[in-house]
Amino acid sequence: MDILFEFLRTTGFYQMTPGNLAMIVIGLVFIALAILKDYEPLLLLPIGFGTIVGNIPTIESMALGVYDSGSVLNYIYFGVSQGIFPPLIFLGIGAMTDFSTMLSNPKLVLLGAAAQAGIFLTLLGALYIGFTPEEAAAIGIIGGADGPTAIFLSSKLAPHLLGAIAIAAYSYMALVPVIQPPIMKLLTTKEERLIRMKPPRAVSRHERILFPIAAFLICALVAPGSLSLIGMLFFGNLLKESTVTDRLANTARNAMIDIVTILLGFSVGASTDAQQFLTPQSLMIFGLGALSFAIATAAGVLFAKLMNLVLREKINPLVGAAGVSAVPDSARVVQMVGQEADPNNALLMHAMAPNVAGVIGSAVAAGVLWSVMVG
Amino acid sequence: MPLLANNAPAANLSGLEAIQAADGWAIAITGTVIVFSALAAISLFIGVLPRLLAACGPWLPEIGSHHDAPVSAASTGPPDDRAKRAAAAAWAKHHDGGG
Repeated sequence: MDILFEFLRTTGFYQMTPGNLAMIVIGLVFIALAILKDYEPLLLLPIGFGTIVGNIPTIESMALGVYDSGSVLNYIYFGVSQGIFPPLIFLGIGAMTDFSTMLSNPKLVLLGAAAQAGIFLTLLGALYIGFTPEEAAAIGIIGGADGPTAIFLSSKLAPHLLGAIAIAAYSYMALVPVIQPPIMKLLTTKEERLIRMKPPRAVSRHERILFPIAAFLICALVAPGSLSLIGMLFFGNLLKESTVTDRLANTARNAMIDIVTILLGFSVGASTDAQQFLTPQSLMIFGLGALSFAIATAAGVLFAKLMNLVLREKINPLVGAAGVSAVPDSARVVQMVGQEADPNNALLMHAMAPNVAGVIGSAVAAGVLWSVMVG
Repeated sequence: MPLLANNAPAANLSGLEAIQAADGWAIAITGTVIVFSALAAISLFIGVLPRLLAACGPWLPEIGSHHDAPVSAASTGPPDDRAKRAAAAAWAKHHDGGG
């Protein structure tokens, strides 16, 4: 009988805390959002299930959890905590990204830069409410709307906040269709939303092959901290554009990115153990993350309006909102909001330019912040 | 047990004082300028690239795409035909070998 009572004390039912229960409910909400609303299902489903797994109470003497040295989950989480998975995801993103629209309209690259203002303004906000400079930099990068970059930088600067930052970044990426449209409509007039842009020109193969090499050199020399992210991004793109390494490009953009996404999503979810995750800091990170997204969207739209003051061929300012690098969701949102004003206006291809520029911009911003904080 | 664990490290400073102490303003401005400069340089390069390629046109090597490569004669025809031909060849070889 003693053995039975002893065993019952080790069960999850006995050890469950209100915090664990709350996190399991959050995990279920993520899974529901992924399945019912189709919000970033490839990320929210693994993260949601991982959250449930990470909040099942375990026995201290058994190495089971993400933070228990030697556990299986700990080995998987190694790829997150050491910043290995994000560059591998960037390799896949590079192998699937077509930079042609950006190459055909280079001024749209600046919109991707403008949207990164969210990162640096949020950094100030985080410092204001009492986070350390390293923590503030890791929180600010949420405004880049780039999950892998957020994980990479927080693993380097604030590993104790990694779970909260990753969950905030991916949650807001999933909520792009909810967060962005009101800001975009608020900052533009009906006439501006009706602006039609010239179709992109055809881009030669020479341009598409030279671009990843030259862009890598520029970014890596300006911000060496972004080397691993930017290097993998442009290496993946060169695999694609060279057309002589189709097998490698296919593996990078299909099997490899899928495997890494599964491991990353699941282990990030499993790292949200209530005792580590449910802190006042996490709530502040979520608040700052929302602010960061809103600022990034507004900065992109406002910068497009500013550019229109000097440009002869006007830009539809909605396109600026795609400067946040949630690829391709924010570009889709631009298309959706643009078509509400004019159902025949195709903005998607134009929005892809600042969208991919935003990926480059947020990786460079991460490199700059890393260099500044450790330098 | 409270829902929110209180394991936040004590922050020494907050408010404008914290921003000042961490050189927050300088980091934000410098960071924005660097990101802008990097992307502006990329934008400039992309803008110049077509003219650069046009100027270097005579010296540029032709880049043949693997996607554009002519399909070899052996692989022409619908896949079913190829499979049938391969099966026939295999049967003939097997038959000739007397196996």
